[in-house]
Amino acid sequence: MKKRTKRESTDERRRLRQRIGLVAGVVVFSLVAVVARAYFLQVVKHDYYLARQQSQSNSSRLVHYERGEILASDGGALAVNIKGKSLYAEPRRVKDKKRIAKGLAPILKMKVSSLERRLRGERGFAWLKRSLTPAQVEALQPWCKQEPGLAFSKEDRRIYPNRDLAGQVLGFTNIDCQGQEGLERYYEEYLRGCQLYVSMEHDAKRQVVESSQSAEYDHLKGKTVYLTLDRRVQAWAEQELEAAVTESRGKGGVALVMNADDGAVLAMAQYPRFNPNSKRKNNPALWRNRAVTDLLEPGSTFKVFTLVAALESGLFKIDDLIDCEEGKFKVGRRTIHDTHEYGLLRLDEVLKYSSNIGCSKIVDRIGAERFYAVLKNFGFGSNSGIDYPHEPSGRLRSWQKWREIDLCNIAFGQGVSATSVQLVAAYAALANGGHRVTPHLVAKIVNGAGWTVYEPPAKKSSRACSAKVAQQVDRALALVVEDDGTAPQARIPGFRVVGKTGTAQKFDFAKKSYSHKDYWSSFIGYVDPPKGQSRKIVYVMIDEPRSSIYGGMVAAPAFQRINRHLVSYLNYASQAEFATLTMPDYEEEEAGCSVAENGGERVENLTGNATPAANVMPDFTGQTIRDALVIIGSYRRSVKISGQGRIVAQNPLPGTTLEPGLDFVFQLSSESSEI
Amino acid sequence: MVGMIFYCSWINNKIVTRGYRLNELRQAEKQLIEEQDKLEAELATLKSPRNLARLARRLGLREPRPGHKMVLP
Repeated sequence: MKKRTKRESTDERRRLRQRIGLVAGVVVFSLVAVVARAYFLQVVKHDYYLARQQSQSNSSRLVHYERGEILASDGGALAVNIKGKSLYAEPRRVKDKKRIAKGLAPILKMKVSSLERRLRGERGFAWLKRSLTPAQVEALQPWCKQEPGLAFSKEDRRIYPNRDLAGQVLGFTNIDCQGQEGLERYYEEYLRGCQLYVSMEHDAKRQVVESSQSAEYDHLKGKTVYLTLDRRVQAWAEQELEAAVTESRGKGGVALVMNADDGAVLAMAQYPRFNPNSKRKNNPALWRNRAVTDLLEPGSTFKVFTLVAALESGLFKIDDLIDCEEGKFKVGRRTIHDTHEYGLLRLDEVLKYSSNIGCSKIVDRIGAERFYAVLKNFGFGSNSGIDYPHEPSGRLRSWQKWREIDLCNIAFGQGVSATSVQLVAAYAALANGGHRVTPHLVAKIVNGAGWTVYEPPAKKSSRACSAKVAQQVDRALALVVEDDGTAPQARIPGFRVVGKTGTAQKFDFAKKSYSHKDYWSSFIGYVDPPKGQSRKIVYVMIDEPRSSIYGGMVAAPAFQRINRHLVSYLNYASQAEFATLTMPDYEEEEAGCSVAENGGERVENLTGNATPAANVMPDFTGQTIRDALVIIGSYRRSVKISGQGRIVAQNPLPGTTLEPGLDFVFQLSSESSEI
Repeated sequence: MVGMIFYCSWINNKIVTRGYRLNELRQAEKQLIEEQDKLEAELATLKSPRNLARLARRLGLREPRPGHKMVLP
């Protein structure tokens, strides 16, 4: 029994060992298999599986970085971007296409057939509607949640916050934010943002785990374009132009304001206006910036250059007399007329009364070649070089092709054409002492890091005429606004205004002759600014006015109104105010703010050009800082003011001899802050 | 060895969680920037000279005449 038991237990142990060995063998084998498999996957096939994993979890997407902004000279936004939503479909995933097309059509304001066409087929992607309104986005939310294959995509939308302010100048972009017209097109290279592939890591549910797109992407965005346009000046120019066109029952008009010294355009207005936010609602003819693209005959505004040619030739002096033949003068078989019958006129009076006959006689004497050379010096017959697309060259045929009558016609602005910008640039040369300028709309372009990457080319040094001639012409132009000149309506009391009217017949291409009904009526000139400031050329042109055809009647009042805004905005000191300014006698009466009555209004003159009766520092104790500033005007180099209220202490002390270039310090009654 | 495996898994888990969080914050930042852009565009419209002039006229304000303005040094 014991023997049996021993044998049995020995067998049992052997079987147990065998089982354990078997299990251990299986486990070891499995482990070896796992390790071998892991080795195979991780080492042998490492590159293959790494590539497969990356292709499944990583993806890249093309990102269009934001378009650059366009800002006015004061930093005000003229063109910016906001994010908008667009609706797209993946047609191969969309199930009930007919039902969806019917449901979406009223929300998207599209035809059912059009939507069905877009949803048709097995394509992977199709736009249904881009640039959705917020209301449309809200109405479409449930559709996108319920229906597979419908989704929103975020896109940049170009917005013009000032609506139709400078609409034609700015131009517009297409739906993909690419410049199509105006400055948007001209500076596309700078405004366009970069396009980059951005890599992303997804999880199994395609959620983004990590993206290489950094928030610090300013350098990839389009560059910021700063214009020379001043929003306020632009708004005034547009407002007064609209008033002038409406009053004269004209077809349209153009107004320009340009710095004479450097050609910077402060305003470029056009009427009718155009709102680039809703370009599709506007007639495409309105997209054109007529100040740059349209050639027109300048008419009498061109006579200035005849006068310049006369003086530059040395054959005439400003007080030479010209016989204006009592209003009729025959050139070959043609007769030239003046609006009034003039006899002998001085050279400057030819301009003042805008005599066609006087101009014809002048060019007849100086000759075509010399006249042509002067016109070329002012840039006629070529581009002005303005930074705007589609500028045509002015039309000025070679002098060898001129007949006798052509020479006379050109002398008073017929048979020659220029754009408004080209004419204003030529006047700018006259106003700045004879230097040609290149008109420009962009002041600078700045990249994301704040570096200026573009500035307009430096001022041209070439001369259009001598400074002496420019000065003589300036004096002659001042006569135009006198009571018996052609544009007394351009005058602003208290300011020296110079300018020239233009009334040019439009050419009727159907009849192949000049129209007796349709005119371009214009006025161009400037108001003398205080010393040290650049003259601002203001040009107003009314197309086909009906109330009157004369530039002095329809354009000059708008010129005057624009300049009234300008002299106020730029704080030009009025000559009238200087004349009526009585300085306070601080020895006898209490010093106070000088008051000049101007049109019944109280005007405080704080221009600082006054001089104390004796060159002695007065005692300003108890007076206002305004009073002190008026009195120390011409002596001050710097003024330091601390506190608020009335003056309690001063330096220099009362009784000190005053000399120009002093530093003044005023302590006011309550110490608060230093200005 | 086991500790190392657990530590590596924990680190990996943290990286993924932080990745999600970072992505959420970027989305939130993007939305705030978009909102700011919209508000700035609206502000620019409200501050446009034509709009300001209209409001000023409604309030009975007028443009300053020459000499009404004083430029402080």
